[in-house]
Amino acid sequence: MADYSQMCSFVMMRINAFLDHELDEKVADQMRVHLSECEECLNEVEIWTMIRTKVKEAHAPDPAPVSLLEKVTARIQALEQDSA
Amino acid sequence: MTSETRSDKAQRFERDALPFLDLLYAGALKLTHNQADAEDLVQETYTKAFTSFEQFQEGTNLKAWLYRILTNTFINSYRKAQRSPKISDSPDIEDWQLAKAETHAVTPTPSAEMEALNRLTDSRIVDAMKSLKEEYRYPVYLADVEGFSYKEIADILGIPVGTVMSRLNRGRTGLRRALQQIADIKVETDG
Repeated sequence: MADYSQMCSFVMMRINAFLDHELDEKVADQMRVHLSECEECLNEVEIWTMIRTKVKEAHAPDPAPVSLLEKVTARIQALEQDSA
Repeated sequence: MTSETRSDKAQRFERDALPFLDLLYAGALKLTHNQADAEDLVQETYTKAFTSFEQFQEGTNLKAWLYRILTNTFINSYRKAQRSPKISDSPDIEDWQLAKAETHAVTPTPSAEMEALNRLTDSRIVDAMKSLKEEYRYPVYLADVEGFSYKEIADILGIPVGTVMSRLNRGRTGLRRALQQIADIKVETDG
């Protein structure tokens, strides 16, 4: 049982790195094995997945104003002419 | 050096870098919190990027390179005129977050937390993000919204990957607590 809860804390500490695909495959596989048999850790994965999805959805980009593209393009052209 | 060479550069720059305008503008809005400053920041970013475009290495991540210029420009020039907290080392999470961390009793059950999270509107999520200090919020934004890797975030912010990881950890932990607190309130008022 002690080993099991150690594995839980190992997994809990790495859930976000796991979801970020930033873990070594070997470690990621250890995580997957544990998640297949531990409901508590799987719940955590679900909660973090939802938080990340919600954060991404809530920050859908506002398109830049059309005038900004014109301003940027004008600046680049001005820089071009300066250096010509 | 013929003018044709330079115009090739301009064409290449416009073709490759301008498609990131919306993304950079969104990032600039997150940093400056207002449209006028965001527009200025984006213009300055593109000006600097164009001027140093020779230094960009073809085949590396242009989006991350542009983001790094955006972030540095913000830190160096806009920051001076603003009173918002710095993107820098600071050991503390908000006090109320720490206080909340110690009260285990109010942590909701997983299913209750999922339901509460699911009900939160975009603006409540944004509020929760805003409650984080910028040094934690911005890495979370770069990872979760922009999908940058830890290495790319490290390059953008000019900090080691290990620091990115610890800021992401603290940022996400703080975010979850903020969301729990917002959600708890909602659950109570729903009752």
